[in-house]
Amino acid sequence: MKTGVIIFPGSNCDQDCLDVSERVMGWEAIPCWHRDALPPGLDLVILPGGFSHGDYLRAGAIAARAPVMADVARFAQAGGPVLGICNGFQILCEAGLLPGALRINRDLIFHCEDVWLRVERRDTRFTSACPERIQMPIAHREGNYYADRETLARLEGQGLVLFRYEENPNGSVNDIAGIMSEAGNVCGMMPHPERASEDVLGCTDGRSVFESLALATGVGN
Amino acid sequence: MGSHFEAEVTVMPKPEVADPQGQAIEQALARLALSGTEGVRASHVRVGKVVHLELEAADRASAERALEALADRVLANPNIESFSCSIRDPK
Repeated sequence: MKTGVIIFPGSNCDQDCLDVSERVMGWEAIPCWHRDALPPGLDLVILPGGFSHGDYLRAGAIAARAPVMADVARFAQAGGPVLGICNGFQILCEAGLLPGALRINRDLIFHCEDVWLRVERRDTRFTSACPERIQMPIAHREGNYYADRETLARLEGQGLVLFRYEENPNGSVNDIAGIMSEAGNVCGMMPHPERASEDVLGCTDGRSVFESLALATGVGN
Repeated sequence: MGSHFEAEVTVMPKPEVADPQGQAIEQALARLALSGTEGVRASHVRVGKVVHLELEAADRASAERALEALADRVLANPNIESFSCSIRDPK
């Protein structure tokens, strides 16, 4: 399994994602600079968390228009799996690869805490190895998911909501913490599975997301 | 040789999208009771942003077209924000 982790100026979870991919999962992990082309032969692209371009204009807005994102869009168009975590989720929405937008939290406060998530679908390539409930940290100020009424009805109707907060920390509509695209190969989530993938980090629930991806890709290690 | 235009894009959260910044400011204004504001209540506070830019373009029409495209594709997120553009003729 060969995964690319995109690095934007201001990304700060890129090393965590590379580390989980390489050391915990045993994959080949390639850092990809935002101005460069996506390397060929990837089985997975991860957009990591952070504050790309200082969150100027809107969180993820400038990164979504980076040169590498045209390649990421083509990769997704061809069915390649893309996982956006936190800022990565914001970037995917800004790039139009996922519907909706992440607004400033309801209470205007940066939330850094562990949350419990309900895994709404356990038959997707992002969640097939997940248990019904998982715990993960969140760390964001713009995690308040919004989609207009029609989009929300479509997300719910088609079962595209993958993760829901048990206790809503940020005001997200329908307690949404993570969604996937209609084609099922692009997933965005505000909680950080890469920060909950080892015993030493206090929680290993997040690893189930990466294990799901490994199962789905069928490449093994 | 093109002309030089000054332009401004105002970006606001859409009416149906909650604006927690506006709500927080509204509450603060109500609490403050500044002298000179007695008997007046501020409501419907919304926070947006203004982007000022200068454009070099062949003519006003192409400057307007470009400004609209920049606002729609970059400066505003149409999922949650609306925008209005204004442009000033070259001095």
